Amino acid sequence: MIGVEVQRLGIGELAIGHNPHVLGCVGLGSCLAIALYHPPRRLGGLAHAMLPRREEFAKTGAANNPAKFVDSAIDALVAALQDLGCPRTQLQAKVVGGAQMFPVLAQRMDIGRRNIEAARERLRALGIPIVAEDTGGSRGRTMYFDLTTGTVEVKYAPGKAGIRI
Amino acid sequence: MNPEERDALSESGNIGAGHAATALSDLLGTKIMNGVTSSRLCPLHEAPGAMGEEDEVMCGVIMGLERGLGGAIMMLFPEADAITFYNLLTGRINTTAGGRDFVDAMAEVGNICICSYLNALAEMFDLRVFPTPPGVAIDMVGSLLDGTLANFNATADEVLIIQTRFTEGDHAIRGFFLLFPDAPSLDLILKKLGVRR
Repeated sequence: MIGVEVQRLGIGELAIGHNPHVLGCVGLGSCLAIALYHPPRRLGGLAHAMLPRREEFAKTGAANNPAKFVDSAIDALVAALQDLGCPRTQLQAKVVGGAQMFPVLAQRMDIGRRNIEAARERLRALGIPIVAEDTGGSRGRTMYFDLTTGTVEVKYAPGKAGIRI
Repeated sequence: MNPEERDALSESGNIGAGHAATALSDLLGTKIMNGVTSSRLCPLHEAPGAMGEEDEVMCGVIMGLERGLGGAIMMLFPEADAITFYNLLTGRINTTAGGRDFVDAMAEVGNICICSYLNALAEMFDLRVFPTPPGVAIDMVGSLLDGTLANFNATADEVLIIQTRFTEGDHAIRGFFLLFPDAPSLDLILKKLGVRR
């Protein structure tokens, strides 16, 4: 990926990219990175979502940013890709994150698990297959989504081997 | 916030960190000094970047807050600083963070720092505070923070960050207190500071 522009997304951001772009999310804990890819055109989008469902926060000001929520972020990515001529039925999803960083607080903080469930549910409803995922557990993750190949590189804290999915 | 209000908030950090230094001195049997280097109320999405790179490895100790003040409080030490603390505590010369002993020791250090700060906050603002037992994780700072932001700050959008520096002899140890009040608790603190009515 040397020489290729890498665009990092913060919490509550999403972006559309195309070959030879690389999109990434650094330091994911319970947050979820959802990558949608359209292989024929090498177009895709990535969202860095923090909370599972938008409607749960509809009454607060927090709901004004769709990219902050897993379900509405997926909808926004699909809409943007469809506008660019990528039919929903040809999209593939990869999902990374949703960890529980402090297992001792699992009863109070289960947002990671809920984020993963929200993504699976929304993608299933839209008929978009999850072709790969690296989710759950109690480790932080950094991910880079290569729009040339659709490959997602997942890295853990320094000193630990990463994976490609 | 105006400068007086910011000072009041910083002062709670000063007092709390001072108490923490005293308690740590007792625990370690050596003189630990402390100073607050900065304090700020920060939009939540800027919080990870406010302490360094999002993938910088830190040791985080978290305690949930119940009843009187709701939300969570976290103490973060950059990896090298956590190792310094551990070595001071155990007399060892570790060069890596991790393992059961390390986690247990940092839980204790974090517990002492956090409870000292909470006592200062409770006295200053006349609040009752009930923390849960501590949880420890060593990972990228962004990863340590996002779940806490999501769980305790979903409806608010600010986090209080107090940066402190403990010193022991030639050792300087950086640490960050992060207070994630839930929306009613943040309102309460700001009201007590006279920021919101």
